[in-house]
Amino acid sequence: MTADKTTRAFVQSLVDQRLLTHDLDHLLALEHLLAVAVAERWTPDRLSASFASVLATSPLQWEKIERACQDFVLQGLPSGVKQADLRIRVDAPEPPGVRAKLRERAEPWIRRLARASTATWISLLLVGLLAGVAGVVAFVVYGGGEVEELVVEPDEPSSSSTTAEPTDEPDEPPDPSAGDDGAVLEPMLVEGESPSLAIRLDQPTSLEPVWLLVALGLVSALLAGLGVAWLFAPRDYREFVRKRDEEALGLRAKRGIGEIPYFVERFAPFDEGRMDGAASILARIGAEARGFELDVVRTVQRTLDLGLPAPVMQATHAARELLVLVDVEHGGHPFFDGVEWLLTRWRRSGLHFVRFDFAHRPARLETWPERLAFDLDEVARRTEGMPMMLFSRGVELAYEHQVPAPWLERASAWPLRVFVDLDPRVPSERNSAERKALAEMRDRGFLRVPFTPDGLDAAVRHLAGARAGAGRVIEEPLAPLADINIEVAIARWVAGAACVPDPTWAQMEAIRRHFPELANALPDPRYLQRAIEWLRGRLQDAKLGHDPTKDGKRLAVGPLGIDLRVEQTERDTQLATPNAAQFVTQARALILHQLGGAKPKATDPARGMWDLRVAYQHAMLEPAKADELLHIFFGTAQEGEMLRLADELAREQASLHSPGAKALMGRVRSETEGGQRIPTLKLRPSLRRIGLVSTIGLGVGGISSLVWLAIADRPVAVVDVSVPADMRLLLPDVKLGGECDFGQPLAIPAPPTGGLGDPSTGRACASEVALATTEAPIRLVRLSGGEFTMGERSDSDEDPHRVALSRFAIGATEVSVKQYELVMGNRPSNCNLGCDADHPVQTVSWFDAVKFMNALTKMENDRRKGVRLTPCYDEATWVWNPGCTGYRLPTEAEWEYAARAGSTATYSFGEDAKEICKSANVRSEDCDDGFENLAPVETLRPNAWGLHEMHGNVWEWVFDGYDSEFYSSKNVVNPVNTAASEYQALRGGAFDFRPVYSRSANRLRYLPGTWNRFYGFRCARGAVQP
Amino acid sequence: MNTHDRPLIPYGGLTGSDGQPYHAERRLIDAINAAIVLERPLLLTGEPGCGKSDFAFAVARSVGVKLLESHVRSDSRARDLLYHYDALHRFGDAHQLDDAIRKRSADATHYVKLLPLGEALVAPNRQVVLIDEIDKAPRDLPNDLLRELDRGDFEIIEIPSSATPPSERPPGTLARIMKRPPGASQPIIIITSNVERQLPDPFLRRCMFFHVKFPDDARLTDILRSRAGGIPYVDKLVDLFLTLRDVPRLTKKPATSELIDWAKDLEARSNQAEMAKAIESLWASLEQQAKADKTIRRLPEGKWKALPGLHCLLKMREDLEAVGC
Repeated sequence: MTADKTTRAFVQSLVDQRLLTHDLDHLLALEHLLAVAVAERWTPDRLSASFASVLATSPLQWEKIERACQDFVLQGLPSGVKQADLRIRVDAPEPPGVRAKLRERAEPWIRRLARASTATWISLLLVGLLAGVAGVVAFVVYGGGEVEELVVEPDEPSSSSTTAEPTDEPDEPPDPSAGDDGAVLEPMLVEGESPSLAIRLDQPTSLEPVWLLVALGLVSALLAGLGVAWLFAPRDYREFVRKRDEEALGLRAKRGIGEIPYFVERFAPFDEGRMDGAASILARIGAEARGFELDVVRTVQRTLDLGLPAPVMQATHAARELLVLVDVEHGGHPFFDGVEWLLTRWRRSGLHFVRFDFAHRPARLETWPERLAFDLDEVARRTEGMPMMLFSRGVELAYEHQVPAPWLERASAWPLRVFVDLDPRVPSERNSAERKALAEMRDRGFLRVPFTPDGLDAAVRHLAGARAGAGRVIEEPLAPLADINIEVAIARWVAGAACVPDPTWAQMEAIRRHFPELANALPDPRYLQRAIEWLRGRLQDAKLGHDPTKDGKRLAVGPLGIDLRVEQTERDTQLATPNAAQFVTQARALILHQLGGAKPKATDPARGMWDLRVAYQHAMLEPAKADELLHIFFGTAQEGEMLRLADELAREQASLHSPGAKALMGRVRSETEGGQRIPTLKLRPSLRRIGLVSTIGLGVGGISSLVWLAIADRPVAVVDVSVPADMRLLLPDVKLGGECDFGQPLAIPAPPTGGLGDPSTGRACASEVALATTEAPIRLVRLSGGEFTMGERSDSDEDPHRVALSRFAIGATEVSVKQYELVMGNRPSNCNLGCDADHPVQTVSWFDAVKFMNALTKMENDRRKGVRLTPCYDEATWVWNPGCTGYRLPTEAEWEYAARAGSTATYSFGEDAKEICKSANVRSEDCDDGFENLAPVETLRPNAWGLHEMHGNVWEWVFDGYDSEFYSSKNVVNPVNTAASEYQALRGGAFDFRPVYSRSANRLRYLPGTWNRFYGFRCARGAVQP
Repeated sequence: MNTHDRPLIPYGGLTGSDGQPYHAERRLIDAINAAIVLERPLLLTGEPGCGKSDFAFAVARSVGVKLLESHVRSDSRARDLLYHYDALHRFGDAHQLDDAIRKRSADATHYVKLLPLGEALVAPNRQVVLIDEIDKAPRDLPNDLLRELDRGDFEIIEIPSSATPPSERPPGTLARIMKRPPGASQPIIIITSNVERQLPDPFLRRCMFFHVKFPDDARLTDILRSRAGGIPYVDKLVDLFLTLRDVPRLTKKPATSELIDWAKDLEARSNQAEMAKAIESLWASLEQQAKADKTIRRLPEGKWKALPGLHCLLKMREDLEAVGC
């Protein structure tokens, strides 16, 4: 059934009832309406009312048509469409697919399930389990006991039965529909059934295994069902919700919402009552306007006087709306907040005005708040005759390229025009160009008033039609900067504001109001002008020369801020002011208070920035803890900002000669200059979820197997309690330490000092994840760096020597097929050996590997906000860029250091090659590692630092060119062989090679341009500077 | 059908012209929403004072624009709703001695002023227009308006057609053919009429039609509660008011606004207890009479006199006489 047939049938039925005559126009309109109604799921009531409104021309007809329409919609629709369906669709007669139906029905459940917290889930599951177990155990205890009795004494009459049993039993034969269990049992009962008592006694024996099976089956089904529900439904739904939230957050982040995580108290700049009074006067403004009627008497008089036809129109008095033009400059300026406050106040008190915003000159205007752009001509035409108020600082208002701005020509459209000068300086204080602009405005008929209560009063009186003299205002000049009290207060004010890295104008005002000493010396918000002037002077002195109001929305104190604060403290100390040095502390307390009022949610993109700001202020208050507070932001999106703030902190502390400042300074510098930024990432939520699921899976499996074992003394199928594959991630053999020591300068470590027999130094720290491939995350383990003995006395090219390494991060696994595909877009692997998603990628050349690294770096940069990684290899020559921060191949030394994981033995697990099968996939005659060909990555036991399959599986390309003599060179600090070489080195052996090839120290060489099914690689990242 | 930029008038939460909540019945909201979908004018009929014009204010507030009002006079022509051409003034200017003014008079656009309906038809953003009391207009006006309302453009015949094609002119400038800027939406036009029969058929067919009923007692009670919440006996007031409206031979039945005035008048009085007592006793006698009459509700002869503030409800002498004052 299509929409047009429906409407035609409906209209026809109305015509039949003589309610209507045919009209094609109506039909088209109804079809249109129906289409919209279907798309928007209108209710039948709404549809009927709409139809009736289209068709009817009288109240009675309207009611009849509405009723007819409702009848038609509810009953008259042909088969397939029901009352309930109309709400959904009229044009889809075919029933929705079974899946869709099920989904629709299940949706609310899924939602409910998903909303239940994890705790609820676990408790529900446990309760269900306990109930199941209790039921089964109870059954076995009673039922099982009886079985034994019956078997031992088959002649015993039924009197020996327990009370529980007979209540069930006699019911069943006569009542086949007594429930699910009964129904299931029915066919089995029938076989051995007989009316005699003796046979009834036998029933339990024949029933017993069936009962047990059924009960077990039910419990298992329950468990399986719960497990499946837990596994899929809520996860899908949560995934959906998470994605949706992320998109919304991303959108918010794009729009820049949540940019300023401060809660700043706003203050009224003027007396509220006075402004309300002004609003009520403005609301009453009327205007004499030229009417449409001819004033005959005066026309005749005038025509006679002039000797020319001179019509005079009757004047009318009409209520006038106010036109407000606001100069927003670059989207804001220091005195803009005051205007916003005033206009909001007026609007709230019921004053109607039309507001347009413009930048600098009102040639192009935007409506407020819809932001539609208009030409001045259009606005002037529409608002002609309205009283007009122009809010601007007037800097570029009147002149454009030295000539009066063309917009002034159109100003005559508004007979009453007021220019509210937001610049708090009196005209005599301005420079000649500014004075000229003011004069031009005056000549064009604008009444200039200052932005003060008196000024606004004068403006209102002028607009309300008071005659000459109404606009005279006595302006009170601001106290000059030369006044020592003013300057001291302003210096203090700015020093306080400099504690916020980027104070908004409202924050400046909040600081002024917060401190009585400031509010006393600077009694008016307009003193912000003086603060800007003062700061402008300081910036020029400091040869920084930028405009502190440049961005329009906040005061740019910049690097000068520290000097200001330091200076302030010194001055306070010198003057022995009672609150010496406390001012800045108090200012910080205020800022922390402001931050406290604006804590974003944990999922908000602004949260990271907020955390950083709080940490920074705390660090400033407690310099001793600065290191601890700030460095947790390494590797997060706030890293760049953090380094800037930390630098600021260090400089200030150094300036104030506080202890420990130099160390912090050095630390920050080394972090900045070393370019080594390794992020700390928390376990991704998905991993956490997998963990939870696995735990519950284990729990369920364990309990159910216990139940099975407990209730069955005959052999039953054994439940396989295998650990889910994902579980391995959560059962690491290694414990990762805390953070690697960031205090060590990392660029170049000291030359090694230990002897050949000395153990390795260093340790594994937290792991990190490459954000680029979240689908198959590339996990890296951060290693602290240190020194170790490289090589072994078993081969000629492995001359043992001591080597020192910077810290770096290395892949916990070989790069998998999936990861390679995500980055490079293809799967080069040879499938005879294994090319599943989680097999290590093979059949890749050394060039493929380095290309992969650059591509991964690029992807990572696209994903990460804030920090940019530099690619490690020149794409043309594949030369390593020194000091790169992106992904790269490990060097040979790094690889061996990582493979040894602190051990000095042949293998990371010891000397005995027979042990190798637990840790490596190799071709061993002594043991079986379980894999004929390739093993998926992260299958076998990792080494002490959490690195999997360093031994075996695939040979791994390293960056170094192969040189058998390289170990004997003096190159022992971050050694890497970058000399041109025919071969590149490979490490670690492979699945089809004997264990001896997998020794930590073993080296292989191969042509870099060729690939081989045994060759793969793993990632590294970090600070070697070749 | 791009539904996202089509405003949807909600069922509740509307605000009328006086800033008070506007209680609209759901079907009226359905009708205005359908009118917005079909881009047709909505014709509202109903007794005076049942809130037709106020509904237009409420819609404008909901859409977020200022209501443009077109007042129809008994001598209005369709053009008088669209624009005003000030021929006299132009004529005067053409004879001025000042060169600049004479030159100015050569351009007709200086003497054309768009009126609310014309302004709305060519506005770049969606406007809400109220054409109030169209039944007052000459019979031709509605039909003449149809063309403009249908096409959304109109001609200013006083402006000579210019050489510049309309597409090259900046939007909003005056020209002979005034067109809606591309992409702009049709204004929401609400036409009110006190009597529906006088309107020509083609016009009725083109408009969406809705008859605003006089509010029933429940809605009146709601309205009163929100306006004059201080009165405890609101339902009794409404009952008396509706009974008064049913008095036969009334020339002008009291409207909602009069009910509100009445309630406010009672609320403002100082002798609240007395007022309450008077109303209660009147209502009691109304009930008593209703029991006796069974079918109609009326006050016994001469009792209306005792109603406090009756002058707020009945304003004409003959009406007062009709209730026995």
